[in-house]
Amino acid sequence: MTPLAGTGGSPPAGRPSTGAGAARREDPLAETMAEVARGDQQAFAVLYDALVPRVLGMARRVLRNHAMAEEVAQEVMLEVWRQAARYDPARGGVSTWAMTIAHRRAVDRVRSVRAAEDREDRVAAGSGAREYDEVAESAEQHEEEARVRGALDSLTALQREAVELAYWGGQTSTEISARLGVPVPTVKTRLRDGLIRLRSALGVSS
Amino acid sequence: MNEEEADLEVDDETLDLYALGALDADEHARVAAVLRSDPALAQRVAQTQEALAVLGASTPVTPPPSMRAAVLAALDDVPQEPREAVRAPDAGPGDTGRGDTGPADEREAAPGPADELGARRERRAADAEGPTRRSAMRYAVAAAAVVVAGTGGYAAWSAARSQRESVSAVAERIDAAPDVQVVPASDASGAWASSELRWSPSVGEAVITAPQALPSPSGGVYQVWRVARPGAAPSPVVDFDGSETAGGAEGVVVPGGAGGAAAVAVSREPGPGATTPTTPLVATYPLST
Repeated sequence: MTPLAGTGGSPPAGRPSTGAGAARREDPLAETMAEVARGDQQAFAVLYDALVPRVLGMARRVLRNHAMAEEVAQEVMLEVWRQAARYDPARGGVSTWAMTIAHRRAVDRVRSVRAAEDREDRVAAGSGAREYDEVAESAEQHEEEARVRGALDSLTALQREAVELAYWGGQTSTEISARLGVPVPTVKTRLRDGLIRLRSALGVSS
Repeated sequence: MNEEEADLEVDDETLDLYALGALDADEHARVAAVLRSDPALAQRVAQTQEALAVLGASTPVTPPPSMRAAVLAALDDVPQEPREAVRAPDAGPGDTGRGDTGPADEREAAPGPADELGARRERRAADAEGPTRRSAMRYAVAAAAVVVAGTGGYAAWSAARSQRESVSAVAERIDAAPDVQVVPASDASGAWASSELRWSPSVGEAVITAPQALPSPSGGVYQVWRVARPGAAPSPVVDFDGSETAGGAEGVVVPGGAGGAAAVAVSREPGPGATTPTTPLVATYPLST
């Protein structure tokens, strides 16, 4: 689909979102999720279609290996099925919940298979650029990307580097400290300040 | 864990690191436990997770259709968990389990999805020979294997997964890859001497296989190690108990394969979770780098 949104350059903060940021207020998947929790497999298929591109995209970005990312994405989706009744709408949107599971799984996996420095170098150089052959394209997606880009731009370069090493690289603060040659408390400060800006730019701070 | 983090309270900073996934596994588990009993803290983490989920969702990828079929086909065999794990049996649906469900990511050790996918692959193979029953039994066996293999973390899960998943299926993928490398064991004796590591960087996994059954690790486990460079400390990859090879004489999947390492090696350990080899290696697979 051709991207239709001509709003790519507008300030992302505070704009009503169609993505996870708005999930708490109006989650289109909430009802589906309730059906899944009751064991409805057809509802799960709907949920699968809605979530899996994001889950797989996340896994690929963290793992940088297509086969492993697909495995992780399958695990995540079955985990969603298994844990459906434990999903708590008061805690956030369905998508947030699934992405949290996906991130944890992907990070666990990447830590267990970490192939040392070369991969980390690529993470550091990644800086959010799109690099995938198969990407779901839609106007909504286009808009969401602009929003995330804008949010990341609100971080300083150092904050952003730390956040990306942690989030996409699966690195602990200790590892980031060693990698960047700065003290752990400095890393933590960068992460914390970075997250404050990220939350604010994405409109989820209280 | 270094000393700086060892005595951290669960302050805002730690909560942020938790949401980012930037705590090590032990600390992550500790914070998760705290969050389960503190809904207010959990709510704060949820906000950060929401922002990060937007970031995480920003590069969607279209999955292959086969993945959908595999996942949907596995549902019948993946039991859903009840609403609460621990308490608050009479809480209403709106706020049920808020203090109990914890963060959505603390179930690594549970018998589950991956094992079931592996089981299904096997079942499909078996179906070629004739109709088989939906195998509740098989699932139960998979679950038991996870429990036996250890608790928590990917390694234990992976050991169980490897046991379930057809090693030969992974081996086939590797063998079909243009960059397959076959590395015979060195410094090995007995059945291990004829074992080999087959590895494909493009597939991203390796298998250790042996033409004859490997000896039982006598009550312990076999631990697979990756050695980043000559002289470097080996890092644990996956453990297995040898029963993987008893029936089908197959071997074990090495997740991540050789991953740029100088060598892959195997030792016999008293139990899962070894962080450094405590016994002489039973086999080493040196890689040309």
